[in-house]
Amino acid sequence: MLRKYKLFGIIVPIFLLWLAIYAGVVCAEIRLGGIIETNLITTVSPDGEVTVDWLEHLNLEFLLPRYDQTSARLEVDLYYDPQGKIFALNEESGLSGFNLSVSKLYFKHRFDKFHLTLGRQPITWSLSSILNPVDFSISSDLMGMTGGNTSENAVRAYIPLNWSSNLTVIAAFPEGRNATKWGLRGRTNFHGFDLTMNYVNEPESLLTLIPYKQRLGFTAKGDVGPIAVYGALGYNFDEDFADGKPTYLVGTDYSFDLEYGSKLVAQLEYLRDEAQLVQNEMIFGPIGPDLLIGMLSYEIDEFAAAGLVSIFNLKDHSLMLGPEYHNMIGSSVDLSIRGGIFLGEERFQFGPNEILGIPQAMVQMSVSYPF
Amino acid sequence: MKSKRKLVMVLSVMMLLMMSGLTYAMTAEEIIKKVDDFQYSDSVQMEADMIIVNGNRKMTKSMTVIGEGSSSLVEFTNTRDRGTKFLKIDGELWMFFPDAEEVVKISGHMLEQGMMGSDISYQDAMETEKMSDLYEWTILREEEIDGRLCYVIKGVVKEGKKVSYYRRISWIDKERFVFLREELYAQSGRLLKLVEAKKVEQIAERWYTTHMVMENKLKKNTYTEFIIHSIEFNLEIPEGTFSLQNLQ
Repeated sequence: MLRKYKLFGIIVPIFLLWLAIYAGVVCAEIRLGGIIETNLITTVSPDGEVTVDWLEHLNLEFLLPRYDQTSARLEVDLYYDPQGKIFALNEESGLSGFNLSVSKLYFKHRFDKFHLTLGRQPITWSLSSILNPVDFSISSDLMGMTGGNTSENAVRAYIPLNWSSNLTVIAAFPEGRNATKWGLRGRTNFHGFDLTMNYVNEPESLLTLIPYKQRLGFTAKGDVGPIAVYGALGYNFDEDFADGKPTYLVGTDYSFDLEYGSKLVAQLEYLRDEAQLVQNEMIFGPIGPDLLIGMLSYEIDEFAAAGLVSIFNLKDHSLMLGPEYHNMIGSSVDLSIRGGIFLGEERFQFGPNEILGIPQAMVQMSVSYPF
Repeated sequence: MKSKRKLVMVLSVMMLLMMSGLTYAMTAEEIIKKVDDFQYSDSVQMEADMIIVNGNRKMTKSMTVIGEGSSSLVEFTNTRDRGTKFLKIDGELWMFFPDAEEVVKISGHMLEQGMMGSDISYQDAMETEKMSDLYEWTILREEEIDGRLCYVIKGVVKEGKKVSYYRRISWIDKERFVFLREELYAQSGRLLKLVEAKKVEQIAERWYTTHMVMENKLKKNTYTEFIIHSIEFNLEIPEGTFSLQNLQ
């Protein structure tokens, strides 16, 4: 926690100094952008009780101009829960139902040989998979199921080697952990395949659910004829490398042409999670390491789309179904409806569970306006 | 009598020549090469709008496009898609997601999908090869479109070339050598898309279509307009423009 504030203590004065130097020009060129969104969340608890929560969200982005090789980003998210149920009373502010988070506050300078980014920034090593067991932050890539945020207080160096090859070095200071998390990723393109290799060293903490301190990962993505294929291989270990556990992911996606000009995109993944990154025994009990994940997405027309995500535990046969519908109202307002249906016995991975907060079902209806 | 027969013979030969198309001032190859000379340049940069229309609903996407050789870079600047970037290099497509600030390789099958929900596919938008290199062309006839006389030519894909449309029929302005209309077909013979030029302008000594409409014939009541606001040809593109590093 202390490190987080130390880093902010560095970033904020630099930011103010940069603003002071360029104040006149910057202020004249600063524009505001973002999204305003209202959410209605209906939840059916494991014992059948139906609750309706209301959540307002304002994403505010200060569109700062870039000067030569230096740029800065500032983006904040303000949430307001009028019922005070989602965000409880904040003792520091004395306010109930408000939550403010900074998702981006960083400087980036593009040196000749590398780019240096300092501050709060999103860090994700996405594979365009539904799950990625070798991402920088494991909890960030579970389709938001864990509520994870990809933003970290970090220093990142990005070193380009050629048009498609690069090296990234990150030192992050995660909240709630009094130690540095660091990672390294190399990326290249080989015969049309996007290949990455990475290493992550997690700081020790009682709060983390990730059972291993170190992680080696390898990912590949490319095309075999008209079919896209991808995979990830992770090896998770502590001090003793030989005592580690692997995680594997294989996936594919394909577009089906439908008669009337629309397309159906299908994605299928298999995850074997021997390291219990997603299927932690301490939380769920012995639920087996295998998951089958599928996604269908269908473009109804230029303005509307529907989709379905499903995650199936092959051992306990519990299932999570996530239907989704999106439509644009008029020419600028978005309506989206996302559902979640959890099917299985209690203590099964996707079985409704009061302690873990897994409901029987939930529906989130959002109306948003980008500006 | 002899001279009458001679005249009939000469006229017959002339008519035959006219019917066989040998009297066209240019061959199909020459026509398409001339079109290519106008349409293609070593490098290009443009500011454009893509207007997606479905019935009464309309959505506008603004973008900056930079192209050179077989590489192109598109950055969206409209509110909804601000910061989204696409990079195409040698038939591979990469996308930068501004929220996550991460570059992801897009699956090959997605190249045929409509770009950002439009009727223009990523392949259409980022096509950089010359028409004369991709298709074998033959002249079909001459026809008038909006008072302008056109060559109507047919292109069939050359063996070994990878394209979105197996066959295309193009109406080429005889005077300005630009497409005024194009019909794009699948191998099955089905008409997939219809493209019509709405405005042709002379820019830096070349005629160029600056406003066109693309209609997906498999969908009802939809079309996409593409309007170029500014365009520059043969400019110097800074080194490293077409790289993953530049997407970041």
